[in-house]
Amino acid sequence: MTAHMTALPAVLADTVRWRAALAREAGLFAPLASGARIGLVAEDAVLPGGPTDARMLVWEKARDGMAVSECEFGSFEAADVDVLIAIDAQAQAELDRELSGDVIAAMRRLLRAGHLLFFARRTLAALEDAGYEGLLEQMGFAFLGACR
Amino acid sequence: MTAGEAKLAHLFAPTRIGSLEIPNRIKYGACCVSNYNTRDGHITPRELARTRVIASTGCGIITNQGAYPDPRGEGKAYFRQVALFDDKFMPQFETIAGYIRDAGAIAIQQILHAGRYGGIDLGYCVQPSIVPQTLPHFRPPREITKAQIRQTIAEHAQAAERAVRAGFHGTEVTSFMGYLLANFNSRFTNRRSDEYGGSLENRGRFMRELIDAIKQATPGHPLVVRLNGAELMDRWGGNSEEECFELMQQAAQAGVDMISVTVGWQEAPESSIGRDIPPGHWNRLAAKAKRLLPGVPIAFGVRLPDPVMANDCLARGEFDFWEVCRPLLADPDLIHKAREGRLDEARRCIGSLNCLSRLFRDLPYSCTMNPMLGHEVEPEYHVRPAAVKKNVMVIGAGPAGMECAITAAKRGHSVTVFERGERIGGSLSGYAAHDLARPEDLASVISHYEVMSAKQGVRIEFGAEVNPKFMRSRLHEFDVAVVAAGARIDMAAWRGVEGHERLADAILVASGKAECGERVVVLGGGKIALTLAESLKKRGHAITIVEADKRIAADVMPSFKWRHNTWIEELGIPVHTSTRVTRIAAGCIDVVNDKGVKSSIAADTVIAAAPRIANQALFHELEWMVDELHGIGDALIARGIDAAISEGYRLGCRI
Repeated sequence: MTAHMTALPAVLADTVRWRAALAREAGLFAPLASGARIGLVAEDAVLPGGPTDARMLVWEKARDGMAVSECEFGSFEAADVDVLIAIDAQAQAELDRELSGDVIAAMRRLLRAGHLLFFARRTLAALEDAGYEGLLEQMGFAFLGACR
Repeated sequence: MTAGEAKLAHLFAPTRIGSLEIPNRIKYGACCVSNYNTRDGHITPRELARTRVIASTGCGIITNQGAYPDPRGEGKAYFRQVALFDDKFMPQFETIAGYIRDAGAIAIQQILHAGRYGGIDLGYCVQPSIVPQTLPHFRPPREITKAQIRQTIAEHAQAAERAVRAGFHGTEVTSFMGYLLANFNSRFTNRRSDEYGGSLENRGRFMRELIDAIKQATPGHPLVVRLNGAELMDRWGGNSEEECFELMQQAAQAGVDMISVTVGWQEAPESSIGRDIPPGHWNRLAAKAKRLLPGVPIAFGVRLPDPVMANDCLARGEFDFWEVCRPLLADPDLIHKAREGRLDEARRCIGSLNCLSRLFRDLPYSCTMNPMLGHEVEPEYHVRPAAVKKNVMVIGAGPAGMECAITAAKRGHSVTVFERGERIGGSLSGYAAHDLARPEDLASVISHYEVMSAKQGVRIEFGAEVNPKFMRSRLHEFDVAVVAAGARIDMAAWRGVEGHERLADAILVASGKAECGERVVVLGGGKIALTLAESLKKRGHAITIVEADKRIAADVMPSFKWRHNTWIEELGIPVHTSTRVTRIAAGCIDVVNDKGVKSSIAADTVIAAAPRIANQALFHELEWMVDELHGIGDALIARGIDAAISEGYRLGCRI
């Protein structure tokens, strides 16, 4: 398998713009515990039969704000993140347009439209303890539910 | 033959499954776990009383709610779910089977292993593969081993055998909404590489072995399987509709006696059963199953709340049994009313999903429309003849007042309702006029009260001045006064804002008594504000919402929060949260947010949709003037239809 087949989509690989986007939302990330990690992957990474060597964009709470880096996704079990966000092609295109604007609002919109899928790798209580409550609510995660 | 039986001939036609005679084509579906039982899975008197009501609904087949089959609790989805992993649970199951048999119905016991949504008391759930939760209140997954698969299948078979021994005619296993069976069937959660994963044939192996084991454990007893006609998970790797139907074929070939077609997973990114889905929307899936499997009885009822529509579907051969649950939560007498040609009296399920909202907050389920649900065991909730017949004045013809009036009249009281407006409904009429989901549902509540108040002889004086002087002038005629005057927008709360006199009252706008300009700002982010904003936007107005709190929809039922948020976003309505208005001028308002940033918003009309305040003035006015004085619903504390109906009913039972 060649490198370009497993590379992150361009919008997710653009760590510079993501760093700036997250810095604009510093207040939202402030409650997160140090070391809190959120991963973003292209949808095919989480689909059955997807690539086994997919890459992942990681937001990590650091002392001076949110660090942004790229690493191997591996699998649901191997991914060392609290929350994993899978992003379909339409969402990638929209995020590319919105990355210089209100990216959290865009993600919220895309989640509602079914173009993003969240996977919680920790329990709800653990996520709340790690300071995720406000962020997840702002992104619309809190409004997802079984009551449909 | 009754009038209803003649009109709904297909619904009430007897039939057979194997050697079992079934009096009609209606199957009570085990679509809701009640959460009425003990934490260790024992059935309570509360549950038995409830089940007695279910048994007497008139359905030809009655499915008792799902019992988890394993002693570890991996299959347990709800804190107070019933268990059937040991003979110690048998006595109450015997009682329930007896209730159903005594009512002349076929008794089916559902066995529910929740899989991905299970392990409620544990720190984990079991699934075919490790796929993390997309709804974080469920437990982190563990991959089930082959030995555990064998054990789980054996536990299902043992539970089925117990159910039959307890007196049930047959059993049911369910994939409904993403439980263990669905987890094996679906590509989304089954990523195994052994004989239980991979191809559709392999993914269906668990189901086929499950069917085979239960059939062997309960020979001669029917087995129903509930299977997705659509998972609504396909865009994230779940099964396509075609795969769902191939799995139905596998089930049929494995010897299942009935297939119940379901729709959606709990975590599916779109609605399947809410009020925003029109009745009949999913009927095509049942019809497709019937065409595919003409020799297998098909049951269906997803978002099909209407017996007339069900009868039509049966007439067209789209399915064989109308599977119904939530409409019978709302009105346990629905089938009898249909049979007797009294459907105008039915309380319709309004699809508020109060039942499921409560379940997923670990509470016993209840029903907006049926305040007695879950309280059948309590004599205080029963309508019994009043020991002393009284003259009762009810002030307000909203849901609280009408519920109280009709219930009190059933008990023999003489009841007069005084209503300021010209029709029944109170603030519910405003909601119904602006509801984006399905106004007919809310309107059905009003028409129910119109019919029942007339049938119970409740007098209603419309256009009555609901003020202290008028009420005092009539009070001597009554033994009891009930203040059910609802709530209003507290316009006085805005007096500190410059230009507050320009504000329009949301209630007046909703009822059509006040007009709006083209550009409208709605102050408030609660249910009144959102409902009105969405409706006005649909009608072509430019809308902006300004909410002082951090978020909107704070007073909206959990199951509708996301809908309102979605509608607001889909309609492109700008929302300013953490923002308060500082000045209302001609053509614009000035606002400031919590960071101190000031701005102006263009507005021809500014609507105050908050805060709400209870109409309590009459309490004080009437306190020393009548023998009994009561208050109910929003007149006590501004809340909503659930509290209004519940309190109206309970007071009606008590006066």
